[in-house]
Amino acid sequence: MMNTQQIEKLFGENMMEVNKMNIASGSMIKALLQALESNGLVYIELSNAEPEGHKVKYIHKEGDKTLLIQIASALGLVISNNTLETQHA
Amino acid sequence: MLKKVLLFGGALLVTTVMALVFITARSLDKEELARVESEMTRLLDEKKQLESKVTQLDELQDKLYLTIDKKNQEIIQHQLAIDDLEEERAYQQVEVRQLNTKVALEKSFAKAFPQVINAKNFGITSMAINEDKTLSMPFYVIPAWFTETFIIEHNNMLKYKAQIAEYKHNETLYGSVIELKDSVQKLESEKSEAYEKGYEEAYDKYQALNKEYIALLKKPPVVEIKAPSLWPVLGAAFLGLTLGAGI
Repeated sequence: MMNTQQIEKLFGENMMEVNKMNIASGSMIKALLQALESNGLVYIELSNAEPEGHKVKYIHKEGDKTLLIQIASALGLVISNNTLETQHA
Repeated sequence: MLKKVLLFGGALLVTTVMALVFITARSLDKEELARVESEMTRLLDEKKQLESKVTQLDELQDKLYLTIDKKNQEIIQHQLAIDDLEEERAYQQVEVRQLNTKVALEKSFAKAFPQVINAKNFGITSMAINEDKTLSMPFYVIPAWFTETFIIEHNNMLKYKAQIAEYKHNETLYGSVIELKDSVQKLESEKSEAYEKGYEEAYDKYQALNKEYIALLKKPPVVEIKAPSLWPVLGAAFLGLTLGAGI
């Protein structure tokens, strides 16, 4: 289990990845991260966000992984084993 | 008697002609001298006027260079201001991304769009996101038509970005034009220097030549009438005698 400090550090690093993305896509990924935390303390780590893009890699850190799929789907995200992608034109 | 008259008349004629030639020649020398001296003075005046004009133009050029330096400083200041604005923009974006609570999000949204905060039902509300209603997510409730704001601002942002790109392209082109103008100006300057050098040299040579000419007019060279040298005379006599004897 991560402690509060580790969770905050993870949040900060994830936000730097989100910040690289297309503004709206980044916001949808952030909505997912916040919903994962509030619904079941699920945490993922983001990496390799496409600059100004719509896709980002992730690894599951802790919590119920099934929630990840449910919430991502509820937000209309396309989820694979290691990537998250937003709808875009 | 006739012989004496002829000799006297001839001598008189020769003397009169020589006197006339002397008087005319003296008169022509004075006119030419006056003309050349006047031309030298005129050229010197013209040169002084030209130098004065060039000095005025040099002063004007120095003033323009100062203005250019001032404008360049202003350009640098504006470029620094643009860099600061970009830095501020990037920082503000990260600041929003780092918001971690709903309260902080509401506060930030209200700051950006104070026009909507008093609308009925406005605010964050939690909604179920699965059939069992075991999962929920916060949603922002805003008047539907308020979302036009996001659409318009998004479209504006894209156009502003395109405009900035065009401005940057123009700035690059202006830079190229300025560089080309500098090159042309350098060439003009080199041409002016070449003309100036040529003019100075021509002027100096012309004045030197005129001085020599004036000196020559004031003191013409003496024309000496000398007897021919001995050997050609003897040669010619020998040849004449030989030819005479032969004939």
